[in-house]
Amino acid sequence: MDKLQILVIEDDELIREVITANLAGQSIDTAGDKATAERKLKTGHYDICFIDLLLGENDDYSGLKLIPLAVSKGIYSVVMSSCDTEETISQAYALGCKEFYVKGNEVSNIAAIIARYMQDDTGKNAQKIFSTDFITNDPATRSMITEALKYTQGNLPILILGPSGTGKTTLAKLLHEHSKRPGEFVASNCAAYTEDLLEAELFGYKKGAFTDARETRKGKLSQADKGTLFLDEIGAMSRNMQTKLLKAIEEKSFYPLGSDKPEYSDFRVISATLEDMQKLLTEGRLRFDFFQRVHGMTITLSPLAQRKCDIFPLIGAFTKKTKRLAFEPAAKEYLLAHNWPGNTRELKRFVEIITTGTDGQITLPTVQRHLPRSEAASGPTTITQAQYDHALEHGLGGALDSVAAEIINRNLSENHGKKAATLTQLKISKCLLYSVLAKSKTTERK
Amino acid sequence: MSFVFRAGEVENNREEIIMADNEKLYHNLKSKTIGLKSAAELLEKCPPEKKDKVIRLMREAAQDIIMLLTELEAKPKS
Repeated sequence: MDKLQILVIEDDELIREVITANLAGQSIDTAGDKATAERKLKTGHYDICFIDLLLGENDDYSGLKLIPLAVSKGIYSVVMSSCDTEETISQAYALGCKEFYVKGNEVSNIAAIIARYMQDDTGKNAQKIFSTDFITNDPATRSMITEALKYTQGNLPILILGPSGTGKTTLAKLLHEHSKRPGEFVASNCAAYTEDLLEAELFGYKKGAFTDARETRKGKLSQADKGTLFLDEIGAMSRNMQTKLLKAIEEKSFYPLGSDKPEYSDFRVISATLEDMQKLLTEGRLRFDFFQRVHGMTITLSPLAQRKCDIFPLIGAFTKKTKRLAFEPAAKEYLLAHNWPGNTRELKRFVEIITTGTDGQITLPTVQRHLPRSEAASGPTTITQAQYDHALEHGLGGALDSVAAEIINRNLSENHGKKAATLTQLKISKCLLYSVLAKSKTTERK
Repeated sequence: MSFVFRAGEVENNREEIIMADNEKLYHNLKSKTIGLKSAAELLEKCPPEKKDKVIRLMREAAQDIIMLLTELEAKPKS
């Protein structure tokens, strides 16, 4: 089992030391104030989070305000406080914390909390899922998948969106495994067949239904009885085919080619596409009624370029049963700067090539040889989808202001609120600093 | 121990709990002494490279406790 990633939010350095010592063997990160804790919760990946309620001398339970953020990230949240009144306990639980413990008996309390976390389905499953089944350390992806797993046991159709190579099929398999449906996971790539062939593939056919039908063959819909039918690249399916499939999904029955007797199949549909659904609908390539049938829940997987924290865990997973690789720092930097247009699939291919052709010690020239310069990103950072969406909504000026404010607030927090340090380090004017602070105060009041 | 609910301020549809100054003093005292006790339990098994740091932090906590006690003594008795 991998080490648990734990965040300890505690303003008292001595208590931080005590808790950290009692968590020996796990991967520990700490935060001593609310701003640092918020930043780490937003950007990092943690399995468990210990939250102190009072963060600072004159604090008014800012720890309580961190609980919803931690819970929204799917983190097992534990409140620790010497202030165990009914009001604080009930409010902490109402906000979603899993455990509330009174400080003072750390040795037995912490061991019991870790044991309970490992017994808790959410914790154990999350640990297994994200370290073996769908490897990701990206908080947003983890949170989305954790949410989706709550809906796997019903019949709700699921639509997975995302660029090629982001793991749509892997995710579909994971969702099927968690559905407890006794039938098989049956996948079909709609882009790989012509309309006639896809119909035969999905619905099956009777012997003699067409020239090459030398024997009766079961279709994918029948094979997926009591299981899951995964339709990849649904955007490539013709409107005619969509009509036929829509009827089969609604009625759970269909006619194989050449048959006058209906067949019944209780399948659940998971579909995927790399295309823009809205565009497919606008262009009329996707029927609205078919879209309604397949998009019960939508999961969008981000490209690897937007979750670079996954690059090295994925490399670790790809080399688990083969030669382990050690990257020199410059090689690591190059990999992190690469855009990965082919996403996880490209990374896997790259790992296969270098494990075969090298001795395990990976240098910058080796990486450069296999990942051409033209594919490398021009800079060390890439804008996130959220930043891009913000720019579309508020204009480029608004987006740049928001990024500037984020950098200033982070730097201020790292400098414990010392404005002079921020002014020097960021080389900004007092006017800009105070305008950002004023805006932050207005936003907080709202 | 009683709590003051700040009138009109509601976050996530919940009333915000505010601690009175006097209660903060007692809370800080409780917190520091608990920290000191837990650290004392830890000290015995503490690796040598960490021991000095823990002792330094314990000294600081002890000084904080003295300051808090002085503050408490100075408060009007009621």
